[in-house]
Amino acid sequence: MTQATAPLAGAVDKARQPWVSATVVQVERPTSARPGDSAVVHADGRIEGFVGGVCAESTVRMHALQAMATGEPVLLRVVPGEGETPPDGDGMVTVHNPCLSGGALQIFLEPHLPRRRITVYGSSPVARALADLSRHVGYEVTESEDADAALADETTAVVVASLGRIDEPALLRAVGAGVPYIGFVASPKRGGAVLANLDLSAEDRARVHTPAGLDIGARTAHEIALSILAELISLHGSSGPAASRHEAPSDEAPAAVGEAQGAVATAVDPICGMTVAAVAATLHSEHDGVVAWFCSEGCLRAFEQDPARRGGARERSTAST
Amino acid sequence: MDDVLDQVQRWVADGRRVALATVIGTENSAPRDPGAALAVNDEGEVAGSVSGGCVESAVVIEAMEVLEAGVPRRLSFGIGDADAFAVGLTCGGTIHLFVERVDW
Repeated sequence: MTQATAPLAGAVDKARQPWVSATVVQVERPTSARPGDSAVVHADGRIEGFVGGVCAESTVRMHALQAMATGEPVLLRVVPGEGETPPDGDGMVTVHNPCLSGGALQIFLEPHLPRRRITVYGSSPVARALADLSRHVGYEVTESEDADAALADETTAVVVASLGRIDEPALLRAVGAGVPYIGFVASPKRGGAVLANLDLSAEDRARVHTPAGLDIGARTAHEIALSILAELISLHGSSGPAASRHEAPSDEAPAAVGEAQGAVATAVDPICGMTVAAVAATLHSEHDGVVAWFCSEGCLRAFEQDPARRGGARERSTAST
Repeated sequence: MDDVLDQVQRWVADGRRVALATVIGTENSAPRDPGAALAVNDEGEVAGSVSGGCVESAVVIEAMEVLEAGVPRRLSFGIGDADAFAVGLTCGGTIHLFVERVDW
């Protein structure tokens, strides 16, 4: 939490740009980084700040992008030398970095992701209660009485509770936008009748939950709102940040380094053998249509100066993936 | 942590000095997951939580010391730790914390 992270703390909600804070929490000397040093990793892999030189940076970039994809924080241990260590579990990962100069680093990577979005149509007591509770639960809430307005991008949920005023157009808009959760607050009788009259396929009609919410015996507006949030969470995971963590089977062992992990493309540095993120912010060069990725200028230079190594390197790179 | 950062930003904007304790690792069953954070300002005000109450008071004292000295610390509280008994982490797990002064 040094100056590097200041402009971005809180900015995620305004710009909806995910970022990862990287903080050095422990070092075994010799290292150039000190505990408390920190950096920001942007979604495109750019790094601002300092977490221990260009070698550590390439490791941080790859694991930060993975944390961004999973939504889970990671305690990264970067140790010198070659080799692979299986994931430690409990959010800890050990990575061997052949280009590190002796010391070891522990770096905490925490993804900061945009909040999930819910749009509530109507100004009924249930609509107001739902908007209120959704904020507490951690959603970014839009209250709307205008079904003509487009829904915000990445809207996770739409709940229609307008007591008949704009129910039909709001439902059509939500279905048309492919919103994952659509709830319609109405009695079973009215809900069924409204849906039956909408010009929708049976499949699309089945996507609308009505009456919205789990049957918990809710009576008051806030209780109904609670039942709707409970249904939303039960079907679409935590209200927390918009990451893919709840879609991934949790009991599956993490993929080995070198394989594609989450949404992050990786490659092996042909010189030092380190796994790096294959993104534009990583050093790379292209020969004969083949792109090679590097942890540092040193590796890039060694590669460029030695065509024989290029050939051998490609074999190695292929063999290890 | 983002909820706590909002409060940290308000404090910093008001000219307060702030220390931040973040859960960076857990073992076994721990009350809060990595990323949970607690912030303390130089008037002793506290926001957030790192242990659901178990070791909060001990963490606040450490954070106040970090706020004064400016040197970050790594702390662990666990059941095998006599100190943890003293401060009451009864949940059976271990939490690892990083405590730093916010330098914005």
